[in-house]
Amino acid sequence: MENIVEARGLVKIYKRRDGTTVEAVKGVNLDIRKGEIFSLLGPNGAGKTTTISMISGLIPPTSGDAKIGGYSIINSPIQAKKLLGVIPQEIALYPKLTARQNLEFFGRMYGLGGSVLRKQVDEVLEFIDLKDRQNDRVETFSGGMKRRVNIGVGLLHKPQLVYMDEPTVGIDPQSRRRILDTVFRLRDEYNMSVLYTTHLMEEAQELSDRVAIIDHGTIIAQGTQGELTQQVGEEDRLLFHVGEAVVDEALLKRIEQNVEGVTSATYTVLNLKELTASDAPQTDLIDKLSTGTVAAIRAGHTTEGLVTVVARRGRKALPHIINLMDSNGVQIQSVEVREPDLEAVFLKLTGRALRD
Amino acid sequence: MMKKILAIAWKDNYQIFTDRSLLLLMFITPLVISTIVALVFGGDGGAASLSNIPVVVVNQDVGIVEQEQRINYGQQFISLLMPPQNSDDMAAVACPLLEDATQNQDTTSPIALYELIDLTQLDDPQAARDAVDNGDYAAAIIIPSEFSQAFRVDPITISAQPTIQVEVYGSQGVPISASVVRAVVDSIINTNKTGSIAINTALTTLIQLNPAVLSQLQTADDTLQPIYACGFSPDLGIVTINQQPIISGDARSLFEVILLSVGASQAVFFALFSAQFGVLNIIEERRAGTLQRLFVSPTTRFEILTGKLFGTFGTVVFQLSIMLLALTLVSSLLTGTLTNIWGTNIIGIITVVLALSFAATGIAMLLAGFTTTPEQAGPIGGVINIVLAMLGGAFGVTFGPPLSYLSLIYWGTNALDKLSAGSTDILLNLIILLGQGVLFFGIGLILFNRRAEV
Repeated sequence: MENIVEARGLVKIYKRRDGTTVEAVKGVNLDIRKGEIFSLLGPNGAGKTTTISMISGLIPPTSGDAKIGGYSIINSPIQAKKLLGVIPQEIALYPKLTARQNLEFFGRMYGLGGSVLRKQVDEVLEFIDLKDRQNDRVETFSGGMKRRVNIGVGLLHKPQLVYMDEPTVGIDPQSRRRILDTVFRLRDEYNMSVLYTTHLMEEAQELSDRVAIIDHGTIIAQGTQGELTQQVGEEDRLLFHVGEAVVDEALLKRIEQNVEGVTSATYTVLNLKELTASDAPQTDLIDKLSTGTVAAIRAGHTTEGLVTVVARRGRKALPHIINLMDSNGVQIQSVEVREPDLEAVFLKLTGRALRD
Repeated sequence: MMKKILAIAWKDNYQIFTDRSLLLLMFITPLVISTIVALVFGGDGGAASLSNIPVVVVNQDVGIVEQEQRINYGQQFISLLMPPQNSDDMAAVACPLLEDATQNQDTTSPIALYELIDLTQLDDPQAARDAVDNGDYAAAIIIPSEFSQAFRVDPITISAQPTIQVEVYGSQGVPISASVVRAVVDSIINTNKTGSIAINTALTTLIQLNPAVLSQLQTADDTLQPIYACGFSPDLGIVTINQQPIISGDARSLFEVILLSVGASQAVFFALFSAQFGVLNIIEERRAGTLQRLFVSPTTRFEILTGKLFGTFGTVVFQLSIMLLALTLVSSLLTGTLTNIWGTNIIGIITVVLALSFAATGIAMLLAGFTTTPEQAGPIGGVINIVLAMLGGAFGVTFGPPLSYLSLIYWGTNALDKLSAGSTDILLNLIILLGQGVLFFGIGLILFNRRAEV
C-alpha cells in the first residue's frame, strides 16, 4: 500500500537557557499508509506532539525530513501542507467570529474562494451538524460544539491526511464518542488517512489500523495491534485490588513459585489522594484508572494496594492466587483480567505503565 | 498572496471593530479627554481663560526710514502685546489717518492680548531661547531684522513682499501655552500680510485705471509711506489687530488651539495602544493556537505577518482619521461654526496620518519582537506608550528637547500643528516618523523571525 507520510530520522533538539540541550525526538521513522487510521501512542511528554509538529511543518526538525504525499515538508512545505488537515488538541478558533466566518477564514488560508469555498463550508457545517448555528459566534458555543467546529476547520480543503492531536482530552463521554465516530467516517466515507495521537490505550486500540508507540522521543514499536501484542506473547495480566491491605514480598514469591503459569507478581500502592488532586478532568482520570481504583476512590480510600500478576492462561491461575491471598489474610476487593493489549506491550517494552 | 493577506487583515479588523470596549478606548476616551481639557483651558469655544503667559520678545528689526521718520513695524508688533498705556512709548508707525478714524475696538472682547501675555523684552535672541529652556518663559518671539522691510509697500514694483519668519521658540514644558503664543503670532502676521496685500491690490488697481498715477506715486513715495502704514496700524479699525482678542476673524481660537494640541497628542497616544493591540494579537493568537493553525496551513510566514501588520496599520490609520474628523466636529459644535481645525492641506494631513500610523505600528512590532506573552507585553507596552506620551507632550508637560524628539507623538502633533497654522514645513517630521517606523519595524521583524518555533 502507498504511503501518505514517510518520516525519516526526525530529530528535535531544544536548547535551554543555560546552554544545555534536550533531545525531545531522537531519530523517529514513521510510515503512514493511505486510507488508514494510524495512532501515535505514548505517555505525556513522550514526544508525540513534537514529532507531529515537525511532520506538519509547524517546527523545523533539527535533522531528518518528512514527506507528505511525496512532498518534503522542508523543501516543498506549501505543497505538503495542502495535503494536510490539522485538528489541534486545543480549540484554535476565533471566538468573536461565527462558525461560518471561522470556516471561511481558514478556508481562504487553504486557497479556497468564491463558490468553492461556500460549497465546502456548507458541506463541513453539514458534516459537523452545526448548520443551524452557523451564524452564531463561537464564543456562545458549548465545549462539544467548539470541538466540532475545530474539527471542521481541519477538513475544509478535503485533505488526504488528517492529523488529530489528542482530540478527546477533557471532554464528556458523549462528545468523545462522537469524535471517535468521526474518525471512522473520515476513513470510511472520505477515504482520508488519519494520524491520531493519544495517551489513551483504549482509544488507540479501538481506532487504529496501525499503531506506533513512542517513549522518550523514540518509536519503540510500530505495527498492527496484532503484531504488537505478539511481542508480549499470550500472557494475561491479573489485577488484584486489595484496598489498604499490605502485601509482603513473601506472599508475592509464593504466588510466583506455587501457581502454574505465573511469570511475575508485583505489588504497588497507589496514592489516591495525589491522583484525585490532579487537574485532569474527572472523565479523563477515570479513563486512566482501572475500575477497582475508581471504586476505591469513590469509597473514600486514600491509598490502594494493587497486586499485578502476569500469567499464561490467567483465568486458570486465578482461583489459586485468590486462595493464597485469602489464606495470608489479604482481603481482595476486586479482580480484573486483562488479555494482551497495547498497555501490556508498553509495560513490557518500557517497564512502566502508560499511565505512570 | 494578496487574498490571504487581505483575509488576515480583514479578520483582525473585524474583531477589533466589533469589540465595544476597544471602540470605547480607541475613539470615545481620547475624544472626551481632549474636549474636557480644551474646555477647561480654552473656554467654551468663544472665551479664553489662560492669562499672563510669560513671553520674552527680542526685536531685531532695523526698521525703515521714510521722510526722515524711522518706522519700526517690529516695535509696532510688540505694542500689540503690551497694555495700551505703554503703546505711546513705542516708536511705532504714525498713521495720519488715525485722528479722523473711528475707533473700532471691541471693548467687549473677553480677553486682550496684553492680558493673555506677560511680555518681557530682551536684546539677545540666544539669551531669550536659554531663558525659555530654563523654564522662565513659555515662549520667545524673535523678530528678524528685515521685518519692517518685508511690510514696506513699494509702489514702484508693487510686487509680493519677501517672506519673513518670526521665530517662536516654544517651551516643551508648557506646550499648550507655547501653542497659544504661536497662534497669536501667526494671527498678527497674517493680519499684517492682509494689510500689505490690500494696499498693494489698491495701488495696482489705481495704476491700471490711470497709469499716470504711477509717476505721482513714485515722486510722493516718501510722503505716502506713513499712510501705507495705516494698513498695519494697531489703532486703526480698517485692519483690526488692536488689543485683539484671540477669537477674531480667521485666527484660531484658544479652544481650537488647545483642542488641536491635546486632541492630536491624545489621538496618537491611544492609537499607540491600538497598534500594540493589533500587533500583540500575534502573541495572543500564539497562545490560543490559531497562529499555529495558520502556520500549518499553506500560508507563508511572510503572508501571515504582512496580513497582521497591514490590518494593524489600517486600524491605526482609520482611528487617527476618525479622531481628526471627530475633533473637528467637536470644535465646530462648540464654537458654533464649521471650522477645520487641522487646516486645508488635506494631502499633508493624510501624509502625516500615514507616517504616524507607520511609526506606531513599528513600535508595536518592536514590542512583539522582544516579548513572548501578553502578560509580558501588556505592561511593557503601557510603559512605552506613557513614556512616549510624556516625552511628546500628550499630558501637558514634557521634558523638552532633545528628549521630546524621541517621541513620535511630538513629531506627529508638531506636524499637525504646523499644517493647522498653514505651514507646509513638515518634511523633517515625516522623515523622522518614517525613519522611526522603518527602524522599529526592522528590529521587531528580525527579533520575531528569530523565533523559529511558535
